[in-house]
Amino acid sequence: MVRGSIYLFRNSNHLIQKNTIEEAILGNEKAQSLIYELLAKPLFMLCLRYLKHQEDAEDVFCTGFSKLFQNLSQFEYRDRGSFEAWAKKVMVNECLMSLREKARAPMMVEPEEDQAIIEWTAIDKLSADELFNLILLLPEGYRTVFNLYEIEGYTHAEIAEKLNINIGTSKSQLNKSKTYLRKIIQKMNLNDAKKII
Amino acid sequence: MLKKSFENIDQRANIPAGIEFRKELIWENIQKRTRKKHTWRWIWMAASLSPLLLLGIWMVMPSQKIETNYLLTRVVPDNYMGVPVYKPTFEEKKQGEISIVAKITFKDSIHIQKNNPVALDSSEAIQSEERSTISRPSIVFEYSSNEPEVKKLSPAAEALKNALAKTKVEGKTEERIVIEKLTFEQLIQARKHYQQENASKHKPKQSHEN
Repeated sequence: MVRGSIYLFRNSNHLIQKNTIEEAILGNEKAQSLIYELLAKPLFMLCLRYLKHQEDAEDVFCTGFSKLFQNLSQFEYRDRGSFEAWAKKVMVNECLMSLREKARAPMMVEPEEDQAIIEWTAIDKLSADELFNLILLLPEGYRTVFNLYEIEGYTHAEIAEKLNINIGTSKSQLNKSKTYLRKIIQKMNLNDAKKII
Repeated sequence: MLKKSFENIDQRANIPAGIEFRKELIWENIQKRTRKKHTWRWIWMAASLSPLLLLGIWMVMPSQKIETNYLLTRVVPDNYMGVPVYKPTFEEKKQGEISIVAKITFKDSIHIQKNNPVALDSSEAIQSEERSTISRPSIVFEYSSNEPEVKKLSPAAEALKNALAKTKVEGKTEERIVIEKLTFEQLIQARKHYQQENASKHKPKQSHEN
């Protein structure tokens, strides 16, 4: 059953099948190992995006994955990709909890500066690795809002609820994070993206 | 616009330089944590169930302790305390029919008190001709006595009789000595009274004599 699922994963863009999840719920170690194999890297990258440091990311990743297996029975399979989305959500919440515990999500308030100096077309030219490193360069407060809004796709209302801030603060944090990114690109010479890394 | 550039960035991007992803080590930790949680869950379950189990045992337990020395059943020899011993003997009558006659023997009959021996006027063993369902003959003793039968009264009549019996009160006079503390005047008066009474008692006698 699980071996068949492995074949399916490789042929459907690494999506986890329903039967694998069911097997994992029953405590099948092979199924659990398969889920880990497929989700480990993207979820670790997600933790790194929020926490920046390896040790912190590893801690949260480990806790998050343990919770994922413990609460596996609560997951309701809807369609392909729903499990990945759910796992991502669990991990994001774990990252936010870690930031909250360490009181490491200060909302940076900086004086208004000249915005939109650089065109966003420059970002399109950057590779995934370069973009990831750009995110890591953002200050923690900006990075959190940027990750939640631009990558995870949460609305400002949702972000405000999750971070216990005002919607206005969330919006301003996002604007500032974008300005900050533009500045970095400008400083590093956007035409030579490799300098960012 | 930005969202498109950052789509699936976690999958597309490689692990940044200087950061090591210790996949196997983390997997071991995750497995350990899950197993630990399972064992703790079992411990908690056992701990929470134990008071219920103890309560159940307590409810089921008898209120009085049964002493181990106390025997409910005692096996005694046949002649213990002069208990009559029944020794059935088997007599073969016909083919297939067996009649059992129990001979009663008393051992140590001295111990048995004979308070009111029943005198049987006529006693005879009658062997029933009818075939018993128990498939063995039964011995019947006929008992008759010459004593006149006492007529039994009805419960209402008995109650009336008892009520009448209660009404018959024996006229017994009781003499009581009453001691009273008297004053000097009362004492003199009482003395006078006593003397008068005494005198009145003796007077008629004298008159009769005269």
